[in-house]
Amino acid sequence: MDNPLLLIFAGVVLFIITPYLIFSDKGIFNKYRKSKKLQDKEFIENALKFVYDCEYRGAACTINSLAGNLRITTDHCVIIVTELLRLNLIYKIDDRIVLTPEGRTYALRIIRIHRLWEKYLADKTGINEKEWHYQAEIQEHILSENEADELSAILGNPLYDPHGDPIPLRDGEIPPKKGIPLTRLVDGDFAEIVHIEDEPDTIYAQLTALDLHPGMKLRIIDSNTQKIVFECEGDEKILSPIFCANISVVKIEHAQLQVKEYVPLSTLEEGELAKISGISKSIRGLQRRRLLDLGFVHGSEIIKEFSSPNGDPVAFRIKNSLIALRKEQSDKIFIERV
Amino acid sequence: MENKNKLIAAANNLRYEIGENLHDYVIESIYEEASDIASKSVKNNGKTDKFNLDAKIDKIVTSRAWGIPIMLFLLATVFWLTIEGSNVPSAFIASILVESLHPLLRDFVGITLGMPWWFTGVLIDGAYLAMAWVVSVMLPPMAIFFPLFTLLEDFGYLPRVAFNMDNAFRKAGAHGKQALTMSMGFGCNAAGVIAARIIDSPRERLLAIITNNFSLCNGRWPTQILISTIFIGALAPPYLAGIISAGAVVTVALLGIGFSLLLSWSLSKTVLRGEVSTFSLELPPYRPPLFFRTLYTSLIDRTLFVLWRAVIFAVPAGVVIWLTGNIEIGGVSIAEHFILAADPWAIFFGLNGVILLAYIIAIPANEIVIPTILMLTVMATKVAEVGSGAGVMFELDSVSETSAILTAGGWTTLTGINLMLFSLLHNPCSTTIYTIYKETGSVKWTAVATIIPLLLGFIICFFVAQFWRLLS
Repeated sequence: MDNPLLLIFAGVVLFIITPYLIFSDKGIFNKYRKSKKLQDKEFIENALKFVYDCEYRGAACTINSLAGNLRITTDHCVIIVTELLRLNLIYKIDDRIVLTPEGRTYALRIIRIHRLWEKYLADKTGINEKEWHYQAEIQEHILSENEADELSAILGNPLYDPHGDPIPLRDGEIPPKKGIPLTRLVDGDFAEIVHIEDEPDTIYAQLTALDLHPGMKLRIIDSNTQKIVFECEGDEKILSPIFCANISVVKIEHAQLQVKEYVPLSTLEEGELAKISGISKSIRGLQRRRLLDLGFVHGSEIIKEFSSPNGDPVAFRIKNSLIALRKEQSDKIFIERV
Repeated sequence: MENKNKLIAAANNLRYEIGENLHDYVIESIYEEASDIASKSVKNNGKTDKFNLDAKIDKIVTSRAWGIPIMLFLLATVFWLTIEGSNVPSAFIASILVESLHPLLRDFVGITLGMPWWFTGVLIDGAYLAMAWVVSVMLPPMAIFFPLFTLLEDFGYLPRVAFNMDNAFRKAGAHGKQALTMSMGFGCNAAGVIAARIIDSPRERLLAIITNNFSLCNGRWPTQILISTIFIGALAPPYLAGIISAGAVVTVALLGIGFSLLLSWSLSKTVLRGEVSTFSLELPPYRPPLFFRTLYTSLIDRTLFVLWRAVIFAVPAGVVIWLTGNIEIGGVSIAEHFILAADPWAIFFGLNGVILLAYIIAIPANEIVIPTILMLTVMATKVAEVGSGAGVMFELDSVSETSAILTAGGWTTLTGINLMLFSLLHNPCSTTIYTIYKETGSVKWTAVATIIPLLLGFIICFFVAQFWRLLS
């Protein structure tokens, strides 16, 4: 027992390898959490959500498409549909599955919780946006309607989730879908992103990696069947049409958007004066509010005063006070040189 | 009724039409209105001198060449003044409270009032002595450190430190202001935890609170200096002993800063990933500090506040310390039972049962760890001629006598090194734990802040002990 080498080996296993195997991202703990089987209630609620989504998109919903969406066998799907029919939440016209009024209310309730939770994660926590959807998928089956009301009140009764999807009101429908797919724009069009579809995961991950968010304005440079090139907040982005189909936009008048507006604050030289033209939509929640409260609003004059020994952060004079910002923030604040 | 519903429906429709940018627009128009009013009614009488002076100071204290050296110089001066300046008043208070008043009180309660020996023991040797010890060791350094620190803060310099250091802390996922709470922690961790209020971003504030314990506080400096002098200084030739042992203490303190950044980094990537993170740092204009007000508020708000909390926790701990040394089961005190049971385990970590017990019962303040260790060692080794009896803490003026007691207790260089490490890496004192709970309002984060350093301490001590044995 007192051989140091043996003890070092035991220590490494006990203190380093075991905790890693249990608690890391790919560890036992996480695997167990992810492998938990869905309950019947969750299947039913997910099915209702999908049927609602089909109706919203104006597509037909069949047992096959439902089974595909829920990732279950057709046999299993038939059991769930039978249960839904028994609960009087859906009815069938030939092969098509349609929601009854009760079914629609139920589906809207789930969607409301899902989107409120995504909004909550976006505004009140620092959880990465790639995890929002996954966490909301779990939470939508857990929160009660009253808890959802409380959550909505805390968030200031928001109308849109962070992807730009409208959040249903407590007993209401949701407003009709806004916008057109980005693929329908032609060269030279100006538009504002109103919605980014969060499914499927792979496409959404790609879109967030490009830092695209609802509320951003863009200009089409070149749109063809191979690729779409557009300029968004001063950056040129290239996407294939498959990806662009998941972005909805509304066209805006030419005059509202000038490309020169999107000069990041971080390009300012020492002692140079500029005017704030806006804050990027990718800054949200508490951080956005803080910047606005400090005076980073359209039209404020700003001077770069000095940098810290390593060049980051940088002190700016705005509204007669000195505020230090990190580069990751001054990259997301846009100015107009004067 | 129908009208009401129509109205609500119309309002809802409008809400969807106005959209999400409402907050931006409202703030924008408030600012526009405000600057409009200001431009009409405020006259600027060319008060640019102040700006220019500020700008000149800022150019120097944040410059690439001078920023960091100036900061190190100022902070080192503050620490040096604290450590040097508190020696005399600490000795003075101790001579009154511990050396003069303690025997007087013991005689008064035991002989004049004729109370039983155990009553005198619990009340005077336990509760009173622990309190007296905490006051005499804690009060002078805090009464020097806090006002000095508050003066720098008042002058406007500390935000520039946060500005200069932010780059390093950003890489660790933390806020530059954590440099300030960390420095404050070198005075007292409880005060450092309270100071984390200056960080307005939730994630970074939690990081600052949880990692504050890695700043070597006032209560631990004397332990480090003593043990380093005895065990590390002895390894070097006499003319180098002073420098080597001081270097070892500074190394432990720097190690603490390293652990603080490392833990901040890993926590921000794991358990704290979900907390909101924002950054903003205002650099207020410089102004001459209000000397007397600063002195008053820092003494009342910080020094006495922290001291009071420490005393409240020290009194019951003093009772416990005395009782463990005096309640006997089968002719052997509880303390000795524990020490005998813990020794075989403690050896894996290069520590011993006395150290483990001392860190458990002296949880209210790191200041009383060494007196408790000495008392327990004397008790366990049955060295008759030193100390004041079972359960009575004591300290010796002479380093060589202290060294003799510890060596008699079976301490080696490894024990010394590991005690220094364990003194840096163990749970915060109960005053700090309570303060963390008060500040975060969360049992979970309090538990995290308490357990992580303790686990780290055991793991580090374990590996150091094994490698030491392997190589020696």
